[in-house]
Amino acid sequence: MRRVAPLQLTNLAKSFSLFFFVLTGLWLILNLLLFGGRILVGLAGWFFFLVDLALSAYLGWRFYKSRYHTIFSYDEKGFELQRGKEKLVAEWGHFSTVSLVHLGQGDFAVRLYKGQDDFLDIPASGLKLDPWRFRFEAIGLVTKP
Amino acid sequence: MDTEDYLLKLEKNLMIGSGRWVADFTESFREHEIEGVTFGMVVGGNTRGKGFLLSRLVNFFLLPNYLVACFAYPAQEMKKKTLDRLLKAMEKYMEDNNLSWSWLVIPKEGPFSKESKRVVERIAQREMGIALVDLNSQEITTNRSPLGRRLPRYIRCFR
Repeated sequence: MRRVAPLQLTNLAKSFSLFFFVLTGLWLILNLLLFGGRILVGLAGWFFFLVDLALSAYLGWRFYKSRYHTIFSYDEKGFELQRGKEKLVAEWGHFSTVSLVHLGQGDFAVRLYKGQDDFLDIPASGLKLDPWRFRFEAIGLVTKP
Repeated sequence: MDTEDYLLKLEKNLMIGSGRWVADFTESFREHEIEGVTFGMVVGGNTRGKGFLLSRLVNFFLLPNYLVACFAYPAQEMKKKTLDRLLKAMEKYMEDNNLSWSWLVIPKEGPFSKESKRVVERIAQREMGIALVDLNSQEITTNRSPLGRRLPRYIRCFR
């Protein structure tokens, strides 16, 4: 079974930034309340900055893993797609049509259709797969007798 | 250049290349069967692009939201009977999916007969642009509708 689980740097950066800005904001408010708005300089200032960075990195990583990190495993029979905590297992044979979809900003997904409107997207670009080539691979797997 | 290479280049050109000036081509099917005709490629989209913030707002208020498609049918020779069958299938698909206009690209590794070119040039349907593409000489013959006349600049992707 082939397994693809690349680190999605954009989403990781997004998660880290979110927590960094929230924690920095909280720290500024606390600073105002506890120290009357005086800016901590020297060792204390660096200490709080490093704690802020470390905490943002930890929380950002946890958030990324639980929401964005995608693991895709597949073989000739079926596949397993896990995005964050959501996991989906399916067989190629359950699908009838394959298409390539441009989601915008250069992101592509390979769309597997069960019926006319029932479909499932495999985020090919997010998984660092070549979408143009993976689409043909998926067509081969879906149409395999 | 062989037909499969050309289809891949055409697909990329429509989805992320110059085709985006005309429409936001978002979804592509290969070997897609419509009304008993198997098209090598069908790429669908709409004329209102997504954009980001300001461009999204401008697109929403200024651009019409027409559904459109580009069909590709690799052929050895294009007879009138085959072309009629293709156009009929396309018309049905357009009607079923509320498409406002569509393109039909027929690539071939070699020249088309004079008769085929004459037949295509005579097609006057306004909502269809049709092109015969000779992949060896890179010559493109289109029908005379406004859509057909504009077509070459978006399907000339030989490199």
